[in-house]
Amino acid sequence: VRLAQLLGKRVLDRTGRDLGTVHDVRLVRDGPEIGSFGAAFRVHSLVVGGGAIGTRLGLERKQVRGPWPLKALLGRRHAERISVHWRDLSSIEERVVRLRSVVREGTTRVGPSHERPAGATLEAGLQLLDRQIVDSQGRMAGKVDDLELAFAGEPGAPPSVVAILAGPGALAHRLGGRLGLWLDSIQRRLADDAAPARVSFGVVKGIDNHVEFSIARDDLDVMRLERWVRDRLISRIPGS
Amino acid sequence: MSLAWVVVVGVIGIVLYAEMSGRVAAMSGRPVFDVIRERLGARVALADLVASLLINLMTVTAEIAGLALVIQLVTGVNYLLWVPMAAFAVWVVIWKVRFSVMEKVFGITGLLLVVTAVGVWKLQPDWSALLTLASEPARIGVSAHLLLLRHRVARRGHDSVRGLLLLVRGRGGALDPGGSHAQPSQRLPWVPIGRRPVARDHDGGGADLEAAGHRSRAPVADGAARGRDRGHDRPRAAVHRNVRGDLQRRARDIALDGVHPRAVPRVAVGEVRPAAEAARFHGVVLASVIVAVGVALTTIDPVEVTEYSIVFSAAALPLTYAPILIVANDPDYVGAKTNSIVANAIAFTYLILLVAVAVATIPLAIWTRAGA
Repeated sequence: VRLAQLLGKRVLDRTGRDLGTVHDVRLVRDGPEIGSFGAAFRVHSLVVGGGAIGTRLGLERKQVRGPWPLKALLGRRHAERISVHWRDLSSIEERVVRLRSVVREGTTRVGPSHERPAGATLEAGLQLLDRQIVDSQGRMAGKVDDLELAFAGEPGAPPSVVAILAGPGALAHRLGGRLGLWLDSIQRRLADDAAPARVSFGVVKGIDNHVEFSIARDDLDVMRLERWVRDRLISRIPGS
Repeated sequence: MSLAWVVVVGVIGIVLYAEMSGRVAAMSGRPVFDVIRERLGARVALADLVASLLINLMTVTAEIAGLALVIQLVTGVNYLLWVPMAAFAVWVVIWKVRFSVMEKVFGITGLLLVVTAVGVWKLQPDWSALLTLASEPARIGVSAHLLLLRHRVARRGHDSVRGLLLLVRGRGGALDPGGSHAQPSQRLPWVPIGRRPVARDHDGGGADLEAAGHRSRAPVADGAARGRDRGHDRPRAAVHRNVRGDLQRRARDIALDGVHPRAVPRVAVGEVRPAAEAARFHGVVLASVIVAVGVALTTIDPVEVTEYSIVFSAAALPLTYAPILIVANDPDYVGAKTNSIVANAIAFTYLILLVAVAVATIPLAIWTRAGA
């Protein structure tokens, strides 16, 4: 499953009551070891609620204090957010996510485990998605266009983040609609295989306001288009 | 001069914007566009990217045609013949010259525009008349200022100041490169065309902004002056040409912004790395220059192209400004250097202003037929 497939889905409780949409996915770093990154991020809970603009703009977090008119207008919904623990999910369908429990009005935490997560937490949509990737030599190596989540271990255990998907193939699904289809078909024509470029999360060295890799970008699949343009156009012009 | 107040409003706004995006870029190492995507999402960011690419394409077109027009003024050879050569020269600069060199060379030569300000001062114009004109609010909003510039300057031209042309031609003949075969009407004062130091936002300096302000204000007086000098027979043509010159300069200013995404940190493409390291960047540059030449060769009026590009950038501006304003308040990006309350108050006022301008600008452009 991909992160972008979870974001934006409607969430219904057992009685079918609509709780809002999935705004973000909270990750906690206590999953299985992955590459040189160490413990992987695994899905902890879904952040669910109505009205997404304030979340999208990052205005809801406490440390952002201004500008106050925007904060007052868009940033006050944090109390209305519901945190749904992964283990409370009963099914993930095409448009909706169904929960096991019945959620009463005013509940902010749903699921078995209410204790604070042990490892470092991250809101994937806000703090990981769309970030710049920088390679070991400080060169740009694409954007985090999507994250690949994989299930491991016992059934029902939360998935962990195993790979970063980058490039037009991953972006096409994010854009959706006709534009998405169009972009996807172009990238299928240019690339030999249809799958979007994928980089294991094991090569991540650090996550700041950008994602740093411990390897050079040259051999990465992410640079497919760059290599294509270089080999067919730029390197043929004198002075390149 | 009746729209000179707009320059003041604009300069304050640009100082605010440049300071915030400079701070974000310096503290986080992230350019403006990254912030737009991180905060507004992939779809909006893509729309923003396509819009700015088109706007930049328009300004590059105007720049190349403008460059060719200037060479026409000097040589008397039709500008359409110069368009491909001007485009080639622009491309070679981007292809081979290091960004830091470009920035310095064009920044320093841009200072030569001080000549215009000195020229106006030397003319000893009727300052009170100028002031009256300068303080009169425009009838139509801020966004329309450039659209109306030509028209208004032409209409008011007679009443304001004596001719700058007189100064430069009469006393400073040596400055005129017009050549003996140029028709009198083609002989324009030699105003060196410089390029503003490319405002990569993390080092957008005050002097630079001041110069930009000067530059956009001075030609208004200058145009008015020339209109007067020429008497009542062809003031409009003279003013038109003069404002055109200014717009060309401005187009060139903007065009370099166009090919070098604003506020790109030093690791960015096209700066210190050979072209093969930034293949997609140079691919886009090459394609843009080719398309620009094609459009310019249709004999489209470069002034109009510039006007429309400004209208569209006004419409797209809030999409850039709003995320920067929000992120300048976010400690994840700027650490302890978040906006002060005062900065936020002014910046938020400008956000409202920009949204109003963005909403109004395209209908106004249609309504006024782009000031025609």
